Amino acid sequence: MMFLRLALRELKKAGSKLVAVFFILVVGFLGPLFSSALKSSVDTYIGLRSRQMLSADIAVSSLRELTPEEDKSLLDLTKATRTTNELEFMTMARGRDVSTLVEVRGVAEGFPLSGEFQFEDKSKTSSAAPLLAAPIAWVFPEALAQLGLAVGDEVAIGQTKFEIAAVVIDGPGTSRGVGFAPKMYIGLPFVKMTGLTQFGSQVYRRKYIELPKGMDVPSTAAKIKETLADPDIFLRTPADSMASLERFFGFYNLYLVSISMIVFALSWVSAFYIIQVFLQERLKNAGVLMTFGASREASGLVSLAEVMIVMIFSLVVAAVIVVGMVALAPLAFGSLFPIGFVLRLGLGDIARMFAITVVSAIAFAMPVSIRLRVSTLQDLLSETAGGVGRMTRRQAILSYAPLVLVFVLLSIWLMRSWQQALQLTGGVFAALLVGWLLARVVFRALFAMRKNTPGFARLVLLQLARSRFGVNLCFVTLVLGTLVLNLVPHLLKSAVAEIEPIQGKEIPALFLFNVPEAVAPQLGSFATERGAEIRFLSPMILARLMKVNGESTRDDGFQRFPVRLSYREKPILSEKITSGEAFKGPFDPTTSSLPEISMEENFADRNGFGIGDRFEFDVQGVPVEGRVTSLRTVKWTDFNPNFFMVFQPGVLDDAPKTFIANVNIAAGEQREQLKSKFQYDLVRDFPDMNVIDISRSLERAMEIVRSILGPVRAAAWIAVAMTFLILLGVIAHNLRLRTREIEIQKLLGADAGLIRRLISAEYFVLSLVASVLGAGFSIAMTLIVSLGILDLPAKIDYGAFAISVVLTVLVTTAIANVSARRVLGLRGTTRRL
Amino acid sequence: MILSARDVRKSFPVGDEGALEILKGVSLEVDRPQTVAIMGRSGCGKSTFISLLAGLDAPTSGTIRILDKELAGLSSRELNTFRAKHVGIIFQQFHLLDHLNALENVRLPLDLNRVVDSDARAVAMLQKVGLGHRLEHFPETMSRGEQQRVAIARVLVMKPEVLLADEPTGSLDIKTGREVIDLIFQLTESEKLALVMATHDVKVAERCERVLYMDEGVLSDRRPATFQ
Repeated sequence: MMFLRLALRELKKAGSKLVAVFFILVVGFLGPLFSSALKSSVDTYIGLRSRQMLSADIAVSSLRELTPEEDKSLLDLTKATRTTNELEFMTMARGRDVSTLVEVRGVAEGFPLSGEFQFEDKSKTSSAAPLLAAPIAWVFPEALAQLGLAVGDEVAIGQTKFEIAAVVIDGPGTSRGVGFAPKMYIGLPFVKMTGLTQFGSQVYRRKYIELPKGMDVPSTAAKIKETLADPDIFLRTPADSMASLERFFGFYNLYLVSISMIVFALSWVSAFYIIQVFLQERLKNAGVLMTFGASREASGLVSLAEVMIVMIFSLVVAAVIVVGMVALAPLAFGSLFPIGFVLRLGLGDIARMFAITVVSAIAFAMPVSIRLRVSTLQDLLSETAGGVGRMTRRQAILSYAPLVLVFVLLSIWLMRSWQQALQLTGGVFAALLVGWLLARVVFRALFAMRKNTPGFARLVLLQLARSRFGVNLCFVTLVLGTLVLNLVPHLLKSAVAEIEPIQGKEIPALFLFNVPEAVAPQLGSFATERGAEIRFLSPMILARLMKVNGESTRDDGFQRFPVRLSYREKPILSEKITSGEAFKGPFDPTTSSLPEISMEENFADRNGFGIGDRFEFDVQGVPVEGRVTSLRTVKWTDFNPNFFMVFQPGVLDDAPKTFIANVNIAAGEQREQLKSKFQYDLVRDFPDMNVIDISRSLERAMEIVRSILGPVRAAAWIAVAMTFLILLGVIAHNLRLRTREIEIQKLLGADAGLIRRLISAEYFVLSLVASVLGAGFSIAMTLIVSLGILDLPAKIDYGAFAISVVLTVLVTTAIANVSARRVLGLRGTTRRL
Repeated sequence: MILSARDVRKSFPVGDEGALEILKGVSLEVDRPQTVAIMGRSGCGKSTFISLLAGLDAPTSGTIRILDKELAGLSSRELNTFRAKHVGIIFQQFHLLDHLNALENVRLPLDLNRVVDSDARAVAMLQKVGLGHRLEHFPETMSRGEQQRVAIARVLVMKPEVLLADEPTGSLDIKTGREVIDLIFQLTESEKLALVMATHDVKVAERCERVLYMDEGVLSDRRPATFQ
């Protein structure tokens, strides 16, 4: 207790000397605490919502009706306590004069088995009974906006009109759709009346099953898969239904944790340095305690208690700030949160960080404890206690190893993957090491430059060239800070570059799919009459890839999902053959043994396919073979009908197929009107056909990208701000340590202005070199990540490069100037000398 | 025997293989409470000898016994406890803890050694050294003379039998130094202590019962020819 009291008194006295370290530690704690809050909030949300999202324990979907035998074995295997059914299909819904693509969900009695509908007016229900009683629809708000309708209006689906009874903002149930069309719920008895579910339509039939209490979901699902071994039957469990959400948050988590841990590492290294200086100064006090009978261990305990108090206090302050941040996050980024998701910092998160903090405190106090152990009492009491007790290399490694361990453990916990955590730790420590080595090289070079440098500049170079720990630390902080500051804009520019060319370019107005073969020939004139033009009308044949080079693809998963094939004579505008040869006209069995296939390059790369590979497909029961004779690049963002695999003509011409095509409408004032009319007439005359409004979809995609970029950019900017805050702490501390030196300079005739200019110039040079190097590294990393890992075109944001360098130099110099003013303004020269 | 040092040698490694011998077989015996001055020029080894007598460092060879206990035979923990109870050390630089006020500094050794009634004893000792009116004052608000008085009070509050002083007035002006020396002698006499003091001040040395001279690591009761 006495040692704790001593520690508290010493800390109280140290006061301003520890403000910097406290500040830096708070900054360091913010990232991991926030990431931790996000991670556990997502875990909690997924745990609570997964069954509710699926609305059952297991959902079985198929494009065909299950046979009575399959149905029976399904019920036998699951011992289902309750079941309900649903039909799902995509179609065009029509308003008064506008139509749009929607995902229709026809639900049966008993739906949902769990979970509930949440309406725009905040009301909720766990029963879809009203949908079964009358032709009404519960519609998602996006569909209403696109159709220009409101509650009480009528919407036409196929041959039936439904009254819009409510606006749903969250509804239970899984879906096979790709998610670009808004959902619309109707009662199952009314689905047939729409006339859209006849033979040949792409309609998913789904059975939702509730298992008896205590029955294991994954093993039951595995048994069903084994028993109903038809690739056309798909199973989903609550865990599967949350997979995409987990992936989405997984991406954010990885990004946030990476940035947080870089800032954390910077703050830890800086705090470690300042605490070591503080504890070294306090070694003499430990010596005094020992002269009066305290053991070495007990004297060391005072140091440990001091570190522990500072770190825990910093953690508490950081936790309070994060509580505020999580409260404000929904205001800034609430649109990205799924309904029902609550971001909060739990006691568990704080408890885990507390444990990490306690271990860190021990790690921070370790070097001084070792020094205390290896020093004689006389050394401790000597005037230069800071230089005593030099550790051996082994002792040094022993004293710093716990810090690395703390970092790895924290990364593993936050990233949920020890591989990623080790990669991050390796990357961060390699960056620190490289930064450190660079600092030595740069400062040596500056020292060499001093000979030919005149007066003032020479003094600046000499100051820098001393290459002390603190200066090196500033340098590393600046390099890593500018790296983070630059990397995000560069990577974002590369990512957005994929979408950017589309903006402002003339893109097709509409994209048609599910065009029946019988309708295809009429489309041209239908379009011309309405001021539109059909382009690239392309056949689409559903097939299953059965064998590659004679080997079954069953294990590769190809047989589970249909592949979409087409045939055309030559590449269209958005395609370019990169290797192999173009088709030699239609297939002629008398001259060639196998039909030719042209394959998209990235698809081939991903799957390890290449020219010469032989493929065997099942095209609706008919085996079709082909050989890859060319690879081609496809510019998908041109929104033309493109395919991974294209046959030469003369092979698939007679296969059952639908068509896809673009609709081009000339630019001009009438374009939107013509588009709207074309879409409406098309859906009215050909209700089986589906249309996507490309410009609206593109706008929506850009909206999503922008909303995702918001928090990504915010996190990067916060990280940069944190880096500058750490820098502020380190510079202030460095200058405080130089108080005596500054006083001597004053005694030797330097006025305060000159000293301030010297310090400012010193940090100007330091920040200029470090920020150029950091920004340079970011360019190299962008090239590696974009070209090597993400396979994106590498786009360098030179504006960000320049801004980051100027900003870093300005902020650092300003911080140095302000800190210098503070030190120069201190009273009592003789006492400090 | 209160204090005995026999053939004490101390050398420090210099460079890779060499060694600098600071003390070359120093012996000293103090068998009753008396005052002993060790004089010598700066760097002659006086401070090193005092630190060895205090057990702050270990001799390279030779033996040191205090109150018939051989210091080399004590573990680090035992040495700390022994020193705290029997040996007081006054440093040139005071070594006060600047975050503790005068009373807390003096009470510190009592608390560390779980002595009861520490507050009253510390107050009494501060009054004895003339600082009863500055109990709550922190070192930085005191003069150097007052700081040294606090340091002396902190040493004597444990009632040691042996008092070791290393240039106790080295960082004080003449007048303050004289006051501090007066105090040390007064307390040494009243508390019946053995005092071994390293000093280069002849006037201070002359007040001691024995004066020894340290020159080039050798201790002698004869004044060396080179000594001014």
